[in-house]
Amino acid sequence: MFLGIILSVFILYPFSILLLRSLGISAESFKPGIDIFTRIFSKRGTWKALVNTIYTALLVTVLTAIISGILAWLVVRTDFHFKRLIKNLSFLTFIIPPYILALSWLEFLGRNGYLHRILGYIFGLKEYTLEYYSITAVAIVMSIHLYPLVFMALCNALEKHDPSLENAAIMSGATAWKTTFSITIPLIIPSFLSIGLLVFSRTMANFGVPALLALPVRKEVLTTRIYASLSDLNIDEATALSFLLVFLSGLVFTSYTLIFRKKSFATINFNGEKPRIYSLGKRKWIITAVVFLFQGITTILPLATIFISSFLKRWGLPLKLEYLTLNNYIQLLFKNDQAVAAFRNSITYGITGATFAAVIGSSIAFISHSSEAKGGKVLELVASWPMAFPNIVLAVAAILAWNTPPLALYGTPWIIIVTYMVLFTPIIMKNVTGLIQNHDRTQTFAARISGASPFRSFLDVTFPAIFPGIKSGWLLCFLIALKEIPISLMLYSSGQETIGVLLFGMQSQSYGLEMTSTLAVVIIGLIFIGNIIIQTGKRRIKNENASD
Amino acid sequence: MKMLQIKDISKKFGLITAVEDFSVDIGNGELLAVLGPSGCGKSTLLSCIAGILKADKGEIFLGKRCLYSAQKGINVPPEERNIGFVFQNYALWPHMTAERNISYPLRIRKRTKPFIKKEVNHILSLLRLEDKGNRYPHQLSGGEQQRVSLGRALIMGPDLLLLDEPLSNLDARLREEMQKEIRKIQRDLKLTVIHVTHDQSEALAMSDRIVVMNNGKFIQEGSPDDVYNNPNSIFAADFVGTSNIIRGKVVKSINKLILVCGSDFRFDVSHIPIKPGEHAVFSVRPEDIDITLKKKGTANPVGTGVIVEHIYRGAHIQYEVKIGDNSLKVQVHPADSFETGDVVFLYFKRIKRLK
Ligand SMILES: Nc1ncnc2c1ncn2[C@@H]1O[C@H](COP(=O)(O)OP(=O)(O)O)[C@@H](O)[C@H]1O
Ligand SMILES: [Mg+2]
Repeated sequence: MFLGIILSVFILYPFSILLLRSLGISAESFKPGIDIFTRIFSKRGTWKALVNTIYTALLVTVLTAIISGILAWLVVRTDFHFKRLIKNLSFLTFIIPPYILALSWLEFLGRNGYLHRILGYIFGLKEYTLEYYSITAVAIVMSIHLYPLVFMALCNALEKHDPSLENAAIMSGATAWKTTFSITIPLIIPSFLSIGLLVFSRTMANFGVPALLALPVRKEVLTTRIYASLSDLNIDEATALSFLLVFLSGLVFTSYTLIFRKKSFATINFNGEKPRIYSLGKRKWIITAVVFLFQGITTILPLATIFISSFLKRWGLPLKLEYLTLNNYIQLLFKNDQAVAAFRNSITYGITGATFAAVIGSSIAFISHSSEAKGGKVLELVASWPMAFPNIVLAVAAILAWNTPPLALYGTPWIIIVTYMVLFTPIIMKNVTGLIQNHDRTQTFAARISGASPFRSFLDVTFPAIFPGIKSGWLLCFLIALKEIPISLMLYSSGQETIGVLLFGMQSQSYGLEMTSTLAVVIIGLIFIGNIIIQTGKRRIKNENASD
Repeated sequence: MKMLQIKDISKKFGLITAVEDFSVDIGNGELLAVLGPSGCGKSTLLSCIAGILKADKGEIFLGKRCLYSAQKGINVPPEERNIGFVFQNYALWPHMTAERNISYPLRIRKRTKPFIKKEVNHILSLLRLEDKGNRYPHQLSGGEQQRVSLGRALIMGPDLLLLDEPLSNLDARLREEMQKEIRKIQRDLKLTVIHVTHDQSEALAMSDRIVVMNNGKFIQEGSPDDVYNNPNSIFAADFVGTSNIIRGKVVKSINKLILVCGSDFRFDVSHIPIKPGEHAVFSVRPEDIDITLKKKGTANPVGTGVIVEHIYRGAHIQYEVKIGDNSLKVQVHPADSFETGDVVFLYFKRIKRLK
């Protein structure tokens, strides 16, 4: 009941306002129609942004599918070495926030970037014509960020599927190639499609990368256009563009669930057989070298670039010992009031938002999966809704809903916290749902039989079983709060700057890329530590379940 | 003395009737086996007794205490029933050590620390788990997990102990060991136990009394000996041990009654109260059939058949013998072996009429 009210106020209300407003209905005026849409579509910019958005998303989907398909096949199905290392490196790539990847792209490839200087040093090159600001640059950076997601999903799919299906084809007389094309690939196509759609919608929803790599040359995508119209205080346009973006992701999201439901072949490996391993023969070392070159460029190079720049006294100085300093870190973490405040704000908002979300998300998961109450499913559906929305749209909805009474949260930190809560609730809910579904209900019965009241058995048995999920979900959300840009960027008022706002704005202020890099290194460090904690926690759960 | 009385218990899940009008009584200190194929409603029955599920109708009494009565609207919650339950999957709590799993019922009952310590040690030694107390469930073998689960049920001094296929996840050797051990503990502690199983040999080996159950319904009850030798239905005959089911018509011939079944298969039923012209169903255990290559003196064989298959079982060989359209399972000592294709004479040592 209480949960129902919370969800209605914080999820249903903002989204209904978003919908109504884009259809021309608001508290001040009542002009239903698609007036706003005709207006935005009469601008050429909208069309361009739409085309760019779809182009980027498609390009990223295709690129990640090709790269990850090859990598996953090498790792799972061949006698390739260093399989663990490949997986770990790609995971490392994945946890680097895309905005920071884009930053390192600029530092390495931009004018006066490291590559430019190296080429100049070696070949005396002066003319530098690389189009490092472009839509394609956005696509490449997003591909680097998202390929690990596809890679891991495909590895999973390949590992899970039953090798006897392939053996049967081979016994029927098919060659290795024929088997791969007639059995293996068709079987993992569902995984390809579902993960591809996820990549597509994630690319579309991203704001930071196009803002950094495309906006400076006046190339726009939908998210950056929303930002631009908000900066012009054109709320109607921002609303309509948000609606457009939601419509697109909704389309993707729906087809995602449809395909996922209809086409998931149950190819579970029952007999625990090991799949057939192909020998790469003499080519093994060449292939290994190529893979490492690829991962070196996508993982090590960006990290090294950012890391080195973070010690420079001033961006653009040559790499000499005399120009290196620790002062950036000291400034950032202790001296600079703005930076210290940003850390404090992000941590406070993150902790508060994640904690609210933990309480609400885990309650909903529990109600919907372990009691008979029908309402639970409805709550779950509503709460998981925000997952389909790009962060920037959550921000626009929050502005619309909270800038006027009855709940004028705009201008207070609460607008950010509440939006975080909306964003985090489904994440924690998903984390906990998995555990609740796996949780053996006879364990609760065993406690009841032993004499425990329903509440006591929840406390002693069910709660310990789902607590690891709440904990890791909470941490995951907290980490998102540390790196997230669009929500706080759209919603902050002076004094509420977060790490994301600082990261986004630093370049344009008196600081240069060196300070931005320093902040980036700190963020990556925090995310890295957080992920190690989450992974060890997950491994522990897995071990306990595995030996049941 | 009746310890547990179950009267007309029914339980439906939507359209499925899992348990239907089930009644049974259990005496104090008795071990009752409930035997039935999987999915017949055994676990559902136990859950109703334990109070994990609420039956749709009927009554349950434990001693003098009414645990459940649909008419009177009584339903004692599981935590107040004082019934021990060993679940099929053990249901140990993964975040508690063996010791803490076992002591839980006493901790809930707020017993003193020294008392709990003493009781836990007693249980651990009773179940030969002395050195396993500090281990977590995932660090224990299947058999040890099973014993911890049993210990948790025993420690509260239950008025009734329910065992839901507790041995089905153990390997054959360990299962036999645990059968003996459970039986011994049950006798020593004078426990009243309901043991649910789909394994007829386990039910026959362990229990004082057996209730056979099928499709949620009560089929038969009796001592192991009784249920094995006097099955009251085709289901009981076939499910408890192996049986050959024979259907035929009784005809009168000179001074005898003969059951005729097909063309070349007939046997004397004069000693059974039956009328000529009746249709009847009989069961014959494989070990109650003799087969020979030559006719045995004066006795009339039931018929002649051809051996079509044999399965070597170590202690005996089971043959499948085809007589006309029928085929019978016959169990023979390995010393008297036959070849596939041999033509043999069949003799029935014992037959049971089912209907
Ligand atoms: N919670 C439930 N919901 C729906 N049907 C159930 C439930 N539990 C058991 N059943 C059904 O009731 C019948 C009896 O199940 P169960 O008591 O578990 O059988 P057994 O323990 O003898 O194998 C089965 O057909 C089963 O599918
Ligand atoms: Mg069962």
